[in-house]
Amino acid sequence: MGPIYNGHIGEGTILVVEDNDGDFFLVEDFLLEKLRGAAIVRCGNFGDTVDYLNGENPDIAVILLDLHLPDARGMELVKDILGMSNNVPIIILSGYADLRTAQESLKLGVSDYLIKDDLNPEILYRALIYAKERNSYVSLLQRSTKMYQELFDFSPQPMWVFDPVSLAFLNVNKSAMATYGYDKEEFMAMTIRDIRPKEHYRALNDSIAERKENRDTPFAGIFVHTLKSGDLIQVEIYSNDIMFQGSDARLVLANDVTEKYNHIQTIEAQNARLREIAWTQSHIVRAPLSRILGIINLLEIEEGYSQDLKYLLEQLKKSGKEMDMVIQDIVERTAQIDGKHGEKH
Amino acid sequence: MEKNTDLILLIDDDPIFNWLTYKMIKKLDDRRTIKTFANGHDAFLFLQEGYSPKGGYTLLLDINMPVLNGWEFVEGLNRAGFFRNSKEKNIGINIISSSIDPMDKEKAGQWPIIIKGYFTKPLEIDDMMLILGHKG
Repeated sequence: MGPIYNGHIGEGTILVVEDNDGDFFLVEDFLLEKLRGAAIVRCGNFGDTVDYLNGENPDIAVILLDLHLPDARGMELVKDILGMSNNVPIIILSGYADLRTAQESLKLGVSDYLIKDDLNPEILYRALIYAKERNSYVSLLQRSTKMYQELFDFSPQPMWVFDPVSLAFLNVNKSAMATYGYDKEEFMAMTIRDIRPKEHYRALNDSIAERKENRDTPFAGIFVHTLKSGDLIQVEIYSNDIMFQGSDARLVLANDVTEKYNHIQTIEAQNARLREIAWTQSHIVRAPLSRILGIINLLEIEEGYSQDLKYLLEQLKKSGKEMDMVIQDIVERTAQIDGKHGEKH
Repeated sequence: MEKNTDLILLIDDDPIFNWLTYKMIKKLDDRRTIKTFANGHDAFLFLQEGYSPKGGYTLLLDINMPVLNGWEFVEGLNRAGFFRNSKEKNIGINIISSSIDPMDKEKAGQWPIIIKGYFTKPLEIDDMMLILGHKG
């Protein structure tokens, strides 16, 4: 028995899974009375239903499901359809004999059940509308929960949630596991103390106390953390109060700045060496040069030189001054490095 | 300026520089009385013992020196009260720096009344004339 197509409306098809012709026509009548031109698809057995659900773009608004099909029935049928329904709301059409099954299936995620003998257009219509409304609300909620969960789980930066009283980890993301080297199970058995070097325990207590006072800014500071390997890293910590599974918790984002920090230290060491060189230029190299120039200055005020000797003195002085300019240039350039000048005197 | 009351103090650990400066001053004005010191400490002791408020003291002071460097020397004089009568201005210091480190020049600016001039070695004839008060 293939699907039977009727009229069309915009927002998806109503799939009626029903083998009994009389029951189907009754449901179809009730539906069309309230939803003029609704697109109704009938599948008369489980096999057809599977084909239809797995077929090309079955844009289904709701599934009305009879619990007795020739090739499937009861709870097994419900579970199978739920597995393929792709979150489309399911309303069970049940006889009194299947009431228990219908009620049980609500726990599995079925939207509603209707007793066939009590069916009328109004009841069917209301059940359809409620199921659709509830479903869109639930799926919205699920989507946003999933989105936030993924923001946490797949954030490229290590994040975790901890209990501010016991300091125990409550949740960690993938990046935290990759960075610190512990798997989720290990993390769940640890407190945030365990990722601090022992000598930093006191500082940890201080910073937690300070965070209690000052919650205005998420930035907590730069801290040293210990990895499972024993290596130390520098991290910028941002944290915020959140509710986690109904209790107060803190969400932490740790930005590994070890490389940045090491890089800055290397540059600072280089700057220090450059300042050293500038200092040497300024004081050590320049001392004998200024002595030479001083001697020339004194020689200049002597009288009675030959023209040649006068010329030679002038040239000597000129060369000396050139060299002095070079030294001065080096010192000035080094002074520009960070605005500080040599600190030794 | 009268001959015997005015003193020129050359304070530099480089003996060649002291000699060169001495010679240059003598060339320009051989009536001047010049004393040379190898460090700030010796100059400080000299002033502590022989200072007269009526005298005039022109100091040519190097910065990089062992024992007591130029800045320590100036601070020492200040602590000992030599600058209290700064109105009289009978002590005038000229910094003769061997360095071209801009920090030294900034430091000199912190003693505006006491430090008359800041010069970089070597001293030119014109610098020396300025220091000796023949010009400017």
